[in-house]
Amino acid sequence: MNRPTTMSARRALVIDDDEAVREVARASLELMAGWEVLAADSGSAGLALASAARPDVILVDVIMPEMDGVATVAALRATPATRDIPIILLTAVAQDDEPDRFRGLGVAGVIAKPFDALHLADAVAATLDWDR
Amino acid sequence: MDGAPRPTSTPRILLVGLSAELATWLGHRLGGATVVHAPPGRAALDALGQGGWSLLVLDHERAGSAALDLLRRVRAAAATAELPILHCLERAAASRLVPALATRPGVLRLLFQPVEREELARAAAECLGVTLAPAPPSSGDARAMTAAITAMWQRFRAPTLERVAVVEQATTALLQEELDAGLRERAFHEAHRLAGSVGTFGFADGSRLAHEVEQLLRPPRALGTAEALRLADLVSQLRYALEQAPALPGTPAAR
Repeated sequence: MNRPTTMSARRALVIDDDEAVREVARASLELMAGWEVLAADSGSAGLALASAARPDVILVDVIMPEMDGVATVAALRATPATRDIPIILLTAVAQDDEPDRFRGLGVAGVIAKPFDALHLADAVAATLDWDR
Repeated sequence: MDGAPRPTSTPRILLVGLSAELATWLGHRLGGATVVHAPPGRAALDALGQGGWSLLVLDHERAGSAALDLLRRVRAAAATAELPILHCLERAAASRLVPALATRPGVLRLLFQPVEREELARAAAECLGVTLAPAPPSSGDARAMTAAITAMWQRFRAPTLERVAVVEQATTALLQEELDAGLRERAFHEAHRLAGSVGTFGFADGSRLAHEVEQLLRPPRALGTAEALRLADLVSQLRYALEQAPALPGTPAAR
């Protein structure tokens, strides 16, 4: 199938229980950066997908039912196939103590929600020191 | 295979053996249709089993040996036996494969490789009886991204306003001194989701208002008359904000 755009080698996984956020993030990273984007609607589904697909970066929502973002990060870090994949947390601007909560998780950074869909890829790339 | 259709007005398309990026593009091109990409094999079978699909698009070459198995299962299950299929394959393979697959006329359409995206979009639109949206976006184009977000907002507007309705319900209950912990918790979570999402669609004020609502509803904060009135005011503003046009770059509302 011929494509009008050139895909780069970057592959991102978005884990968020909110379909609207997943879809905007997917469109943003695909259309603005040409990355391949995988998406999962729960921490457990994300963990399985990350192990199978080995993305270059994983964006994880903090507040999700059942397995929240912190537990998801811990599981990703405990899994040999995913332990070295950089993780960026997606979090709605909220609790003042969040920086403390996230310190020590070993994530590469935090991107606030609502994010700017025009510049999400820039924010990810800047966090990971990637060239765009 | 449980392929029982779900009641929905938005077409749902399953792409197998193609790409997630193409799924996004096709969704935009079809005016906000739900397009899901699944890798061939178990993931595709699981996705199909969820039911409610309007169309299956299959790339025979990329799906490999899983393609025939998937097609046979689709045709064998009563719920999906007549599911329209767009089957992308090499012309040379068609005569060998089609007699075994086209068990019902009119529900299998072949697209011969190389298949252009626009050709695929036109064929999908014909199968679904919908019209194509304006020209597709190109990579790195802010105007195209804005158009994509606008199209997505049309899809997510109704469920977003349903979330507002939950907060309104909690507000009414609070004003009547009948707000229970369960509804408060639900409204709190909906406000959190609104705060984190609507700004992305161009409703910065909506996110700010939803965040204030979230803070008010966050347990164990005591909720008295002053909080109830403030909540009512915030929720009213929130609904109003979300009923306006989104203020995305390049749209009239942003000027």
